[in-house]
Amino acid sequence: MKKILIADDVVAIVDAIKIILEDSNYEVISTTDGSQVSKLIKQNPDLILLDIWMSGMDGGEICKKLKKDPKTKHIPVIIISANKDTKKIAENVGADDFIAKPFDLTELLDKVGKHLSKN
Amino acid sequence: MVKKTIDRESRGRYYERAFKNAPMAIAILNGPRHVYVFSNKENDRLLGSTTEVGKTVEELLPLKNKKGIIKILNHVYKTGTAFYKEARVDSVFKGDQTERYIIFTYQPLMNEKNKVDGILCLAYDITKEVLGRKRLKESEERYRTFIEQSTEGIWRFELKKPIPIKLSVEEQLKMAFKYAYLAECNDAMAKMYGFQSAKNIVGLKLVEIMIPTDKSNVQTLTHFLNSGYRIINAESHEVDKNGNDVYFLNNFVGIIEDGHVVRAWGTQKDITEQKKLEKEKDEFIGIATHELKTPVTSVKAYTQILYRKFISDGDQKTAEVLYKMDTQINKLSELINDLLDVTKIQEGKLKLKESYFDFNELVREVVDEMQPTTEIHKIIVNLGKTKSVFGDRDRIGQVITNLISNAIKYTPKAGKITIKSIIKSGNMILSVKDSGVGISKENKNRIFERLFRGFEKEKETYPGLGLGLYISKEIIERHGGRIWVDSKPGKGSKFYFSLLLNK
Repeated sequence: MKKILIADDVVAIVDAIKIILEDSNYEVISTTDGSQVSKLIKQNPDLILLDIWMSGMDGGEICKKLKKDPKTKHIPVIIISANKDTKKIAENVGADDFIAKPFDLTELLDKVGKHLSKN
Repeated sequence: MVKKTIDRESRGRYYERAFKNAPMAIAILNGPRHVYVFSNKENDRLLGSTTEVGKTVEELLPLKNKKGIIKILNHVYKTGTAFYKEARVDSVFKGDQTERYIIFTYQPLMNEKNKVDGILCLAYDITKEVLGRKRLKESEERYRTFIEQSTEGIWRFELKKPIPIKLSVEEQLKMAFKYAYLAECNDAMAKMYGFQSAKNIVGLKLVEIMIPTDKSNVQTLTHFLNSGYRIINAESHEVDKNGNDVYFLNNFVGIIEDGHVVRAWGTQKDITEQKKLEKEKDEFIGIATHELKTPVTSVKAYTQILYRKFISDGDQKTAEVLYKMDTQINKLSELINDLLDVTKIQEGKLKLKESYFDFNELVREVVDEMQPTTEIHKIIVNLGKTKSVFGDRDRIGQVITNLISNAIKYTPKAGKITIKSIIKSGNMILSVKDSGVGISKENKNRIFERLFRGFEKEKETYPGLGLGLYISKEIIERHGGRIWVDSKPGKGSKFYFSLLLNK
């Protein structure tokens, strides 16, 4: 079973995504605290859903770090953001894909599936 | 040529004539009592009376400060040293009372025994030169006052190495940062960087004040180099002496000599405060976007979760309810985006991030995004030659998206949507044609208004706040372009917008 890491500072959103991913037979690990990502990475997720704007933490910087580290750069990162310029931001930080809030669950599942099957 | 021997007497008469008519006052005094032996026309004019040969200075001089002059003459006679003085004389002599300046020279005359036996007095009118000098000084002072009193920074940058204008923009830019230095400026300019006066800042290199990698700086200078070496209202991002960010609005012009840029003159206005406020406002709008969209994201996600659950449980009816909810949430999301755009427009805060981009490439990108949103419409693309357009790529993309989205919305039955681009009269023109319901004559003038929405005869309004075209119009007009429509009810609509090429 593929493992997905979700990082978003809004509990309701994390829970909603968790429900939908678990329903589609994915294992989910999550956090609302961006600083915990480096810890959870040790559990070797197969994909990361990362919010850009988490209180006090810049998701973009986290992504850049992940993509620089040879141990984690192979893990696909999908940026989620309420910002209009999500596509540009995703490109700038080296993310593999982006999804704008509010998102459609089908779109989310499609993108997750696409990037997991790539590996 | 016959050599003419002029005898002493003739020579004497020749000299006398020359002295008599010379354009300066000449008088020759003899002896310790300073007896007049000669006085020319000019001297008489200066003194305002005819000088009698044989009379002394004491007897003839109609001056208030006669004593002073005699004292000087005595000194010259006694010591044999010449005397020069520039004096203002209007109040001193008889005759006209206008402002006059004279240089007086008293030159001792030596006899054969090399002893002083007389004095040569010369007076030359230099009123024109003095007044000219005065006027120049006053004019300089006036300009200096303007420059010194100005609250704007006024400056002159010189180039250690003049920049050849035939070089590429990038090379010119590199040279500018390397060789430009501040040669002259006013105190206001120095204060903008945290210095007390101009002398503290003169000599600094351009690269020391202006961040060479900052986007707005590169853009400003590139524009300057591309627009005939002139630019107005261009922003720059610089650092003051404490390393703080300072922002300026600049106007400047480059001076070209012999195919090289040799210097630049300019003014700058400190807009650091405004920039701070803008940043705060932008941050607020950013936060507002985030805060509004967050609950909407949750609600949408849960709505969709419930929808799926009811579908998998076989409860089609309830699932449909949730489907409708989801549709409404989408509209809510669109409205939030539109409202935020309108807020920015209203406050004049709709900022354009301008750059050069390929127009047709943008059109194709938008079409690629929009085609999947409709199953019953076919978007046909018919693009002419492409050009590099200077503008805000995202915002122009927003306009194209809006026009195509409207075309889809107002063509309820299946149909074709045709996108065309052409270059005409220095403009890039895009048209979006649909085969939808069309627009009536009365409404044609109103569709670009804020909050105006189209409606069918069956009193069914088309969804939306009616902000899309208002925002599109604002964006296009901010770029200096035009947006308009051709339409007939029942026959579909063709929307156009134009953008200036070569801005």
